[in-house]
Amino acid sequence: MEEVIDLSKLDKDFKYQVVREPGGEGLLSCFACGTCAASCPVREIDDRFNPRRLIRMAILGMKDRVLQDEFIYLCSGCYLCQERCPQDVGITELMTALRNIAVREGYLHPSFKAQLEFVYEFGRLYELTEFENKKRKKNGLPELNAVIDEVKTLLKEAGLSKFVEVKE
Amino acid sequence: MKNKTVIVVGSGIAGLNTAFSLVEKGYRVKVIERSSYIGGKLRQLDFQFPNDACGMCQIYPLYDSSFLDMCIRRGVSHEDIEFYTRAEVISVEGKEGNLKVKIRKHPRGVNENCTSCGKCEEVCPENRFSEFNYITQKAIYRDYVRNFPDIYAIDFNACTRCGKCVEICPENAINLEEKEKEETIDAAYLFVASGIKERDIRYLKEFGVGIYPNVIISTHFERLLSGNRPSQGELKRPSDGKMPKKIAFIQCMGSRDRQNPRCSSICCMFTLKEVRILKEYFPEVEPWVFYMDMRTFTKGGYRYFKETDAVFKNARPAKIEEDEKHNLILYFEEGGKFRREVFDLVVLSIGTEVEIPSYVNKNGIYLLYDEPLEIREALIRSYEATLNVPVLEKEKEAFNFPLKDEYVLGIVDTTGEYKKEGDHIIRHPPLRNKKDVDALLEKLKKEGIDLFVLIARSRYTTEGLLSYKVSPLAFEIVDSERENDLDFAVRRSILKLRYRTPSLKDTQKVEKSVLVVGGGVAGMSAAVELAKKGVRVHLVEKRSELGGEALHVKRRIDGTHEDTPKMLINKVKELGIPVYLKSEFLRIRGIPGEYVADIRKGNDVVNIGASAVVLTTGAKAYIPSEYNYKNSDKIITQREFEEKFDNVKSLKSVAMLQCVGSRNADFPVCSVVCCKDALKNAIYIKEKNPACEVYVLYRDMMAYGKNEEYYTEARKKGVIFIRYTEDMPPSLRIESDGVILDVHDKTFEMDLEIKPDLVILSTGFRPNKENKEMAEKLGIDIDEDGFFNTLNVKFNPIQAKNPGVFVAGTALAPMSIDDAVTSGRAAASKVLDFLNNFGVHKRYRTSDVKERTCAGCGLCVDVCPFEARYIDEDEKVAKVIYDICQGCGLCVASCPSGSAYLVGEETKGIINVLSEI
Ligand SMILES: Cc1cc2nc3c(=O)[nH]c(=O)nc-3n(C[C@H](O)[C@H](O)[C@H](O)COP(=O)(O)OP(=O)(O)OC[C@H]3O[C@@H](n4cnc5c(N)ncnc54)[C@H](O)[C@@H]3O)c2cc1C
Ligand code: SF4
Ligand code: SF4
Ligand code: SF4
Ligand code: SF4
Repeated sequence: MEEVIDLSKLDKDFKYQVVREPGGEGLLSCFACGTCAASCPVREIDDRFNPRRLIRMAILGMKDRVLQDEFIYLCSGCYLCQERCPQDVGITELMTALRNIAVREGYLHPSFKAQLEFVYEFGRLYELTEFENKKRKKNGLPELNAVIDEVKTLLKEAGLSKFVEVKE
Repeated sequence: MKNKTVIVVGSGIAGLNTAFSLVEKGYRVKVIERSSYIGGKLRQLDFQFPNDACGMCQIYPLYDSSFLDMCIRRGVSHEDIEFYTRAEVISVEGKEGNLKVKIRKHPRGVNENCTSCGKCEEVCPENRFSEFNYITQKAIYRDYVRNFPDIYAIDFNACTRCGKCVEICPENAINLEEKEKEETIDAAYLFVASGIKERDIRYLKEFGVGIYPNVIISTHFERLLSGNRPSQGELKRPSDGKMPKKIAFIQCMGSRDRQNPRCSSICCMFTLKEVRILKEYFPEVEPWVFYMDMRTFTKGGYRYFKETDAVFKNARPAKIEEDEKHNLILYFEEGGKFRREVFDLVVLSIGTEVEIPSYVNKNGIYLLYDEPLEIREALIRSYEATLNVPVLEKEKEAFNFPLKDEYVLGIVDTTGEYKKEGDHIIRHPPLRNKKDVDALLEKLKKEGIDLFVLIARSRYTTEGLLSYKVSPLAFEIVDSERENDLDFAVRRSILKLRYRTPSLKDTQKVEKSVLVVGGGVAGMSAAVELAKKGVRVHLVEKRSELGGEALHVKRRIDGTHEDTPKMLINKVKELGIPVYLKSEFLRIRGIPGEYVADIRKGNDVVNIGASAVVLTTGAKAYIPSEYNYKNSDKIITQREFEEKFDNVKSLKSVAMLQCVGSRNADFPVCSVVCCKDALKNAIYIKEKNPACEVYVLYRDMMAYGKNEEYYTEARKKGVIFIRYTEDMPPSLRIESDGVILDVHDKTFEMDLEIKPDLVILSTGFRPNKENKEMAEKLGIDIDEDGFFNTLNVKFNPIQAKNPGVFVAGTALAPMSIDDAVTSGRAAASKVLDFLNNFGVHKRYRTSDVKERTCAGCGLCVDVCPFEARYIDEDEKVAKVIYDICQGCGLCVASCPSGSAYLVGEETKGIINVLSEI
């Protein structure tokens, strides 16, 4: 709390940007009652993850911090906060909107980036080695291709390849 | 003959008050109540804020002596009010003045013979759930130990018609076969006072509403507080009858949410009351209050909040869980920390709403109010509503001194000591009460007696009682205990009566006039309404123009530019109301119904006669000494912003600071209007210049009632609300590059720095400094904060302590323009009731003036040692304040034209009496 936030340095347009994003429409209705914060199961485990606080930061225009906040990915999508919010902020959907903005603006979380790179390169979340194929064969299963090119094509078409640092 | 019947739907405090006001205006009232008993919501509540006591009886009219003063919870009795219980209006046809109102009366099963012995209840085998007491009762029941009507009732949904009660009832009061009845009433008008009801909040499943036995709503809690106290001195929770040690109150349950977006306005105050009563009787109990904004905006409300002892948590809990012992676990967040807390009982501060019947959209039908209001406001609305009907002059059966050629004289003996016999000699028991007086007057009328000598043992009580209806000139009293020779004394008095001349005042109608002090919107509204009803009004204003503080309000929160003061000023002109500008009210003299006011106009002091005085001197706008206001043109008030600032397009960021000069140690009062001002101007800025950031630094957002919608609108437009607390107010610095505001956001425990182009201070009111002196002069009270007080802050919110003096507008407490107008109109209605009922009885022996010959020279005024005479400003003749005049006769001697005389003792008369004796 020692930190002083200079409001003049924040992005005043960010709140409107969120409201324009599908799912983010309810952001500004929030009156900071705290219902969501006391509902959230993720929050129950770690005080750092707090939907009300995240919403506040978005309203104040703390764009960088919001888009880099791990919480937007840690949200379990349980909808508890959304169901109970008296102001219809639509928090769970708002999380999706924030993720979408983050991704679009290049704030993709490193863990997602790493996953994406795997999928891009191998067509799945891990690299298939000879060892696996041997084991499959032993159990009477067909061999698999180590690389799936169709997935690569799909990701390129979907515009996701731009997040991948390709080692071609 | 004109139809004098009026129907009032609903018998709650506002309905009863409407009925009383209508009776005072000359109508007969039928009150239609849906439930089995009269009294409405207040019967469930034993105590009301801010006195934490009941004061329902304070609504009784003061001047209409035909009301029997008694506890309203137990009964109301008036010959012009008829009550229907278990009845409802099913249709209304016709139009104003001639409504055909169809009433359905549901069977009650028990008639007036019931003595409430309770035998039936003992034998009844069937049960019902009582929504009044929140307990299970027998199918034949009553709500309380004393009810009105004080008889039982049967719940026919629970009753199986077994007949056991019929068998046992010793009074033959039960009829299980009673049929529903319908009746059509011809009424001139219909008033709807159907009041408020609790919302169905079963949608709040996460709070266990209707599932956990120890989660209850406020009304239920009030019953728990009441029923068990003081009889058993215990507070029992529903699940196991144990005394709860720790109780949570959760605000805004069924308000300010998706289902019910508005704030219910009254629940913050009633929760505080419940906490206070709880602490008073069970000091060991620990109450916690969970709230978002403490909306204590009513008169004295902030002080009330500050003096309430509870743990206050600024949080809305997310859910309640129940353990195996039915204790309740609340989950909430505080200062960034996640918390659980266990309670024995949870009280949900229930949202309320007004049920509006389908037939209100018709002329001749008036709805008192359409959103929840506290008692005080509800009563004000009921006074205001009755302005819609013309005042019918009451047939006063006063026994006056008639203007006749021949008078019939009589002798009334109430002592049995007067032995003479003859015509017009009446024997009558001593006069002990008003009923005895009525009986005597009846006898006198029958015998055709005009004037009488009354022989009594106690002169003063008898005289007092008689003056209730009889002109003091129409009788002479002989005190048998003081006279040696009773016959002689009677003869002397007869002679006095024979030569008595009637006071001109007694035979002609006294013209009623009203003085309104203060020409703001409240004062003008009162004056306009009175003038419309044909009452003569004088309006006195200190400044050089009418309008008061409202002249500075340029925009209204609903987005309109409605110019209320201008509209009222035009009406004042249209109606030709005499206005005294640059004039100051100095004092009043005289008695209720016959005051005279001294008004300073320039260097002169003029006198205005007035039957009643309406005080609407308003309150002043606070000029801040805080926040460098005086040293920077970047720091202005909401008012200055509204009146002068026209460069909104150039602004990049604005900060508004709430509660400047209000709700602090110096002035522990919420000014009410400043939050609305902030919302209004914040929305305005966002509309004109959406790119401009607007920060509102607040403590509690006073967006009660429908104002919640403006609060929501402001947020949706991007206005940012930052909550600070009184102990950590924002600090302001002026640096070379502009203003810097540091604020600690309490909700998020964040330190923020704002660099606005403009700081707008939301300043409120301060009471006028002269109030104290003014109150002394008028014989009325002021409150701790320096505003005027009325007879009862809750139950009699307009009538001041001194009869005939009424207060309205911001002279009473901070309020908005609309509320000031309403309160001014309510005052007009109260004045009309007063004028229609107050019997103007003069002192026994005073001087008077023959106005036809009086030249207004003022000699008598100069000689009067008691200041009992004055020259009336309008009529330019001498007038007497009868209450002050001692009948010394100096004025009679001084008058060059013989216009001054002593009432009943004209020179000719006295000489005759002396010579005949
Ligand atoms: C800063 C501020 C902002 C406000 N904003 C709003 C708003 O946006 N919307 C809204 O609805 N309301 C607003 N109000 C409130 C509004 O101004 C009042 O509700 C309303 O004007 C009160 O009317 P009144 O007649 O009771 O009092 P006033 O208007 O104060 O009138 C009282 C009059 O009595 C006169 N007087 C006083 N003493 C004497 C005496 N001894 N003899 C003769 N005359 C006397 C005074 O000079 C004055 O003219 C605001 C008020 C303030 C201070
Ligand atoms: S529950 Fe809704 S209104 Fe309350 S703090 Fe969370 S988002 Fe805001
Ligand atoms: S939806 Fe996400 S933010 Fe909301 S309570 Fe569940 S995990 Fe928390
Ligand atoms: S803020 Fe309004 S709705 Fe909520 S408890 Fe207070 S008065 Fe009731
Ligand atoms: S700013 Fe005014 S209305 Fe709002 S809480 Fe403070 S004193 Fe009350």
